[in-house]
Amino acid sequence: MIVDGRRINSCLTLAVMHEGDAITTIEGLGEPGNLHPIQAAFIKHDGFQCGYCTPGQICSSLAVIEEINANIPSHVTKNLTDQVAITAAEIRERMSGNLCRCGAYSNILDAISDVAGVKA
Amino acid sequence: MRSFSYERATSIEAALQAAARNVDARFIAGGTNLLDLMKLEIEKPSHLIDVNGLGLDTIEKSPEGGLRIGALVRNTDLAADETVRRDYGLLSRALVAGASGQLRNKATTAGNLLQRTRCPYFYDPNQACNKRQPGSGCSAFGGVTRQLGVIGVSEACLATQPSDMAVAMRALDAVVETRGASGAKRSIPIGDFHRLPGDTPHIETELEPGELITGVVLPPPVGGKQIYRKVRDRASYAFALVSVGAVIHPDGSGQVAVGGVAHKPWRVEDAETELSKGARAMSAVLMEGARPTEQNKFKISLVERTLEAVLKEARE
Amino acid sequence: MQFDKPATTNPIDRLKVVGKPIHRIDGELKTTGRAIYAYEWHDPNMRYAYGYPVGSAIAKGHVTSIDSVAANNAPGVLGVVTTLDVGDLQKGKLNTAKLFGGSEIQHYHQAVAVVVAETFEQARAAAHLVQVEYAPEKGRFDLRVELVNAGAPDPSTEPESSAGDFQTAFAAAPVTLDAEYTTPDQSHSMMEPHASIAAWNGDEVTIWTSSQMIDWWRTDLATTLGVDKEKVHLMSPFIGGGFGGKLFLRADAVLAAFAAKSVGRPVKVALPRPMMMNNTTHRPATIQRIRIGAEKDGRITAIAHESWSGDLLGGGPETAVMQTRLLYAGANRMTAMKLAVLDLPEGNAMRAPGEAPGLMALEIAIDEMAETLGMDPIAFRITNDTQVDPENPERPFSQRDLIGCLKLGATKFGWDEREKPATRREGDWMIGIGVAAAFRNNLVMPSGARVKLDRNGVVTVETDMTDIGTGSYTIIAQTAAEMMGVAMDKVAVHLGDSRFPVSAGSGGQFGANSATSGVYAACVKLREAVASKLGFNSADVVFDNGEARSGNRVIALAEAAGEDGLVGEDTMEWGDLTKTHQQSTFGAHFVEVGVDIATGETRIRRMLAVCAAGRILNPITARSQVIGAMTMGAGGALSEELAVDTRHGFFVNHDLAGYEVPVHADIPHQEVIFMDETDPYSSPMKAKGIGELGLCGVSAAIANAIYNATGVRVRHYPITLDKLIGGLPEVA
Repeated sequence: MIVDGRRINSCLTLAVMHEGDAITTIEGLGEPGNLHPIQAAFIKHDGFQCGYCTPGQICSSLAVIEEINANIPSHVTKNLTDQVAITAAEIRERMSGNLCRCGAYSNILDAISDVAGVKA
Repeated sequence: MRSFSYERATSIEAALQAAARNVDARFIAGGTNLLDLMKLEIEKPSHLIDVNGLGLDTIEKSPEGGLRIGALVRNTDLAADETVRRDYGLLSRALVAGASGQLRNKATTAGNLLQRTRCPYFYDPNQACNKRQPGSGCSAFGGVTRQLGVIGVSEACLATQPSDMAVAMRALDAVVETRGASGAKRSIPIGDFHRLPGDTPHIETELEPGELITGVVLPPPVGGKQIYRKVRDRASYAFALVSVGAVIHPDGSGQVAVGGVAHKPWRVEDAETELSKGARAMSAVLMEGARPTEQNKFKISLVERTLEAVLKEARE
Repeated sequence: MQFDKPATTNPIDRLKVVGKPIHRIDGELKTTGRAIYAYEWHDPNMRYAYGYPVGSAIAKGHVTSIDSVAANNAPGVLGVVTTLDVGDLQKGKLNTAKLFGGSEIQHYHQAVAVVVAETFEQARAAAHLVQVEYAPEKGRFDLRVELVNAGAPDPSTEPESSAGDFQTAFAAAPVTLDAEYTTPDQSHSMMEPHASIAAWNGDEVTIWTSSQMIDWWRTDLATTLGVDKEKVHLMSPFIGGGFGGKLFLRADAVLAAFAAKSVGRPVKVALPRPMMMNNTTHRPATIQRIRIGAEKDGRITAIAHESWSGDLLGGGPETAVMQTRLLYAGANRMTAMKLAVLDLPEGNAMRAPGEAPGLMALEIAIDEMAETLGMDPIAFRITNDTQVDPENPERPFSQRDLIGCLKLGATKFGWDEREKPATRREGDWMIGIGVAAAFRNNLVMPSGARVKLDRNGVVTVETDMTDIGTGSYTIIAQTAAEMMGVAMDKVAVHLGDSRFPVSAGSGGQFGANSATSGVYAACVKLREAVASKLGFNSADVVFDNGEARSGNRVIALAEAAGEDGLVGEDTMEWGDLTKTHQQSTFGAHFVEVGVDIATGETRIRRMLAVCAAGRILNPITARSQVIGAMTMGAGGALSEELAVDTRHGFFVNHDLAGYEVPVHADIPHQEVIFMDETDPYSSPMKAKGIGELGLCGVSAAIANAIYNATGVRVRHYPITLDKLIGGLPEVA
């Protein structure tokens, strides 16, 4: 989920520690008939199978794009002092905290790249 | 997870007093390790003191020209800090090699130093573990040890310290600043902060009960090529089999710390005099006295080969 | 409907909807958090209580006493049900290990109690207060040690086969290979833990659960609870992954049912992640010996494949030799499986059981043999292709385009750029490419469905088929739309409910072909009902555009349905076409890896799969099945291993930090090509399975690519860096 603009693991924090925080979950992005563009992209690219990890993948995707735009470096960032570029490698590395056992990774990357404007 | 009470501390003094009132209390900051261990009842605090409101979340220049990092600076923010990226690239690299984006957004500088071992026997309450239950024995001994320690180990414990950040800080000669239960300030060099297991593996750091980490100070920038090389089975989101954090100067001298091999970030200053002779010479001294198991003896040559790769990269 | 003759032209062949790249009809639910999985079912009128399981701390022995006083007195606790309380229960016929009941402990983390409380947190806290005393017994935990005690498995598993005279031919062959390969225990590790809610109403129980096979679960749960099957109602409309781990009744459902009965409230039970690896099933480890003899021109004259695996008493072997009976030619052959008794958790099916670990070994052996012969590994495979079952040459394959897959893949992948082992370098990366054949038998299962047509012209399909991420909802809707001549938005699909006709379920890559065939059969019945009601001759009615047409009469389906609507229901049954014709699916996997010259870390750079698997019902969902399987194969090749503590008898790395499945950064862009194929012997859909084929051979292709990159041949999975660095050159 996204708390005050940052993605975190909901299972590793206490609700009482977030009094007054702005929290966005998958339900807050879009709904059937009125999808957020990232939700539509996941459907278009079949970026899920069983669907169980999908809310996390989608919320994480949005935050990843924001993190890159905010020039936060990652393990695959070539030069720490340059502006971070939106590349497939950056997205893959940053999405690695979201496991998908169905193995939809290749399609998820396509979905995120589509929304972020990256050539996959 | 046992039931516990919770309070938000509003000042360092209040936090210290709260800890002094309750010996079972734990400070909670990011909580990413503590809450996991509480669910498994490996950690069983009766009281949590939330220190997130203490304002220890700034990064500023130290009077000596180094950097003072607040205990509550998030891993993401520390890795992204402009000064850190420019002058302490090793630290930034080590941070982003660790955990996942979600975890780095919560995890703090102090919490990262205090994260506990990932030894699978520590995580399974059915198995004997001297770290979890002093005196119960070490079921890792003779068991599955591929991930575990090879040097500085004891009969009582084979665990490793899993932090990437701590390896970088060890190579960078960081100093941990604390406030004791009485309020007294203390500075602990990072090399003294984590302990070897000996026969008390449950005591992992030099911190006294109720002592609070307030920050970490880095000395003035040392320059050099700063490289953090983490070796793991998966490409991301995995603990290190071996990691090497190094500052290599143009004259071939440098500072090197190794992760994934010991109960603390492993650095032998005497070994660094061998650095100019190459990776083999240095790692021979660095890993002298290693006691690997059949399953993890590969880590000895992996340290050497990884160091070799780091030195090669530094030359490029 | 009985399918006993090859399919001729039928309404599916119109391909107006079937075969089209249609996005998942459940996509909006899954991408908006509206798909409801077992544990999340919430009826505001139900007062749910929460059950938390306690797992055995020992691997073998008996529970001597359980003290649950402290747990019972803990805040919020409603009750504790222990394995001693419920006593011995009749085991479901499809389970090897018992799930609950009685004092005997057969494996680590076997459920011994469930604590029920008002909240999840209260139940979890109280579960730690349950004191269990054990009388441990010595167990057998090390497959290598138990090899000497391994014997022939049950004859029903067909443990041996032979043709010609292997020993003589092998001894005479000018070029031979004799090597041992091992594959480790692997974990399904689906993202959704096993979870159930049980709610009793009198003597009837409703279970919301996560099951691949509704009727199997229902039957075995009724047996275990000692109630009539008709009193058990199962619901499983969304399943967060299964991979074989949810084929058979699991402890969460049993515990929930006993707990709910005990406290008189609906109870939710999920297996905590650290319990999943040891409480449930896993893919058993294998030790395999492969011998191949060939002429100098590359023709195989002798081939033998033996496999040893272990399981609990009464369990079965990992059938790792099966593909070797069919994949390559050779007049003299033998296969054999041996089974050792191990007191580890139950070994059972995981995605492509048999073929997945079998090909991990066989396809390395083929690569090695090709190299020994000085042949290109693709040419070697083509030389030894067979169009008939090599053990029974009178049985042809219904379709077999392994050669086509290999050739097309080679062209698309740039196979001709392959160099000698350990020659290609890019910076610090040693680069290699590898290939393996993919092979998985096509299985069919009886499958039923009910199809309703209402006064609005909406077609509603009801079947207990499950969608475990495979796309069942979508391809079943496509099938009904094609058969009834309606648009996709006029079809509703309801799955995973035991009140619906019994289907094939999801497993063995039989689900898509079998379940859509069941829907086909039901639609044939519904078409007849429409024709009959309209007084049309059913043979010449055309269903199209929401209408039924016969001659110059055109009637809207909505009108035909009338106020009462119409229903068709049937079950597809299978004749002996699978006996007269060998039905299998084929493919070729191509992989490029880089191996770090210093550390031996392997990273996959490119992956391509070419598949020949009959008609592809939906290329979008089929591609997803294949890329997911390729990803699982990457894990199997490079990181996945349940590490056995051979002293205490359990899988040590029993969580997702210790058992490393692939992450995003491990997987490159994946290419999938489907051969244009239909198989009239498989079903009226002319389709076959694809979900397991995608896994078969992937790990070996990676192993072969690593060899090509480094010149280091590793025969023991996973191929981690510690098995490579001893053979890598100096860092320079």
